[in-house]
Amino acid sequence: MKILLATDGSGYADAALEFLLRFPFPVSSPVILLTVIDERAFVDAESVELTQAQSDELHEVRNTVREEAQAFLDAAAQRIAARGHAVTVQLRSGDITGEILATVEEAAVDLVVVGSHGHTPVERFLLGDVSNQVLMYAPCSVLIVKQPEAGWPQPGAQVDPWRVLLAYDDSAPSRNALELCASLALGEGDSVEVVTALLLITGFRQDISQHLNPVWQQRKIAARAALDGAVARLRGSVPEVTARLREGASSSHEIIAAAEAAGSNLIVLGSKGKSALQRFLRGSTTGKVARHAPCSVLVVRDD
Amino acid sequence: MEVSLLQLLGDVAVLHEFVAELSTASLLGIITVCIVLLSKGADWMVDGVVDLAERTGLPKIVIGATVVSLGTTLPEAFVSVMAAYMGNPGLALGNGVGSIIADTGLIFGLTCVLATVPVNRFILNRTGWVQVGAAVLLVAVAVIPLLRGDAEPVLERWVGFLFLLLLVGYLYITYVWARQGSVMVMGEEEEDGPPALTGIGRSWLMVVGGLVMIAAGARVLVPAASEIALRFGVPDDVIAATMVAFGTSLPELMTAIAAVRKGHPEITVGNIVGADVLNCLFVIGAAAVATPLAIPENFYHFHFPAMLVVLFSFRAFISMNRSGVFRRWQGFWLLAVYTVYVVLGYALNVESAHPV
Repeated sequence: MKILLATDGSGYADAALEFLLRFPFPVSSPVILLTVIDERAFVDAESVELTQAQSDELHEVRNTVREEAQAFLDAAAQRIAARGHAVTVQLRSGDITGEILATVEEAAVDLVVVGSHGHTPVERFLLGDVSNQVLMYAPCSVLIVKQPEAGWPQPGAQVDPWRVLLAYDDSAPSRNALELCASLALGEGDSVEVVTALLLITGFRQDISQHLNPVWQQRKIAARAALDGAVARLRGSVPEVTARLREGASSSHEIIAAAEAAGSNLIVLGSKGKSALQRFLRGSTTGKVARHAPCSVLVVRDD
Repeated sequence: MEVSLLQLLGDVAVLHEFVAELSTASLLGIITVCIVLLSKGADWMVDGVVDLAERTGLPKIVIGATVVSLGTTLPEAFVSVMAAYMGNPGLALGNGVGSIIADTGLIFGLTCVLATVPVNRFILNRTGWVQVGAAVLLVAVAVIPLLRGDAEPVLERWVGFLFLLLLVGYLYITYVWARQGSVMVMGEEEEDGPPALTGIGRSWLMVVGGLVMIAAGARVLVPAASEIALRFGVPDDVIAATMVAFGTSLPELMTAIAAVRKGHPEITVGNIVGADVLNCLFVIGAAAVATPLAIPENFYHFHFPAMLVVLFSFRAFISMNRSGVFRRWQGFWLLAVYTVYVVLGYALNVESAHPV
């Protein structure tokens, strides 16, 4: 599995690095460390007539930014290499999302790891959100890392076990997510909870008619059987597996509520690869989960 | 004109005067607001009543067969009863018949086009026959006075009582069928724990608030729709069967859209079939009880035939679909019938309008 860690040296990117260092990836995976310098600020400044002193200062600032980024990348590369991964480092400049996506394509990356800045909806609207854009447009799997509320434990301190929540609906994308969970090198104390959310129509209390509808009842039986199948698949490779069938008005809400209830530190789900129109009409469960989940989210795409 | 809200709602003459002074755009705006009030009010009321019913320990299956099944038809019922009460039988009857056509033609048609809808034989071979039976019965009792040679055919009050009696029988039989149709042990629901009940005060507030919203919505909608009919130069029954029927069918439409979005289009089949039965027995029945409904001529050569075409098409599709699903072209057919009905409603009636 070829991994791309996109980092900007901020605390959020640090969280992504820490996650990468701890996460039990299936095998030793080659990692590309990428920092993109958004040079728009410098370009704008160049279009104005500057005095020699201002121009020199700008040049200096530019160099400092590059040097700091390079130093950060080198330090991070060392830590990753120490975990046994082969690391390459890339420093690019341009539009951040565009450069991340270009690297994904050029290097045939399987998984992009980005930190989430945790923007509010207004900030997202005004500033854009790199992690959200990468999630929408990347052709490969995307891991959006959110820093745990209590921060990462200090080196040497007792590490929290992995409590993974797998959202499963027996579709092809969710089976890919299941296979990824099965391939993780989870150890003693780690657990996976498989959750299926059945959707209720709550307006005019149609959920009551829904429960009485024989077709719905058969679907529920089928969902339970599929859930049992998923648990059986994981049992050999995951130390502790549980399953839960939830019912609610929205799948993203149910997935997040299940993660909160189970104290999960990672949600794994398959991406349905909806078109822009479908996303507009039906909403994107993965997008909503990635934005509102209390923990990190891994969106699995089949490549 | 200085008029208080209470005066406006209480005094029919003031209400009529008020809507007559409004511009057409404001009238359409008021109709939209009324439709939203009706829809949201019905939603709240159902929510509240279900909450209260669950407190009494009434089984879900009974609640489903009564409150929930009546819920989406509440706007139609209130509007039609209000129209009958306010002396507008064309609007009362037109809303009931038009809602059957809108539910089956527009909403079910749209669902079939957008999603693969399974043919649930258990529901359709039982409730499905009541659906056609109720509509045929309505046409039959409407035709009797015509055969008797009455100059002004009327749906008498006894027809209303008969329909309401049949409604009670229908609700009971849906309960029995729901019990038979359940493949799951009903006790299994218990695993989710007792229903999350909110405060009893909130439930009552939703019931009363919802009721006030529906009543106020219906009260203002009736004269506003009548005024629009006058301005468009079409009879009341055409506005009732198209614009008002579309508006009062909004709960069914919203439920159908939610069902498609959430991947459960099967819910819509039962809803539409049930709504058709209730539009006959409940909506028209209650309106006829409120006041005997004079049947405008339009119904015999326009609304009733259109209703029968839509319902018998639906019936034919059920028998045709051996594969177990409704076909997309069948959805297009129902939508086409609905569109032709609406267009013809205006095209054929514009000149024959008889402004009061």
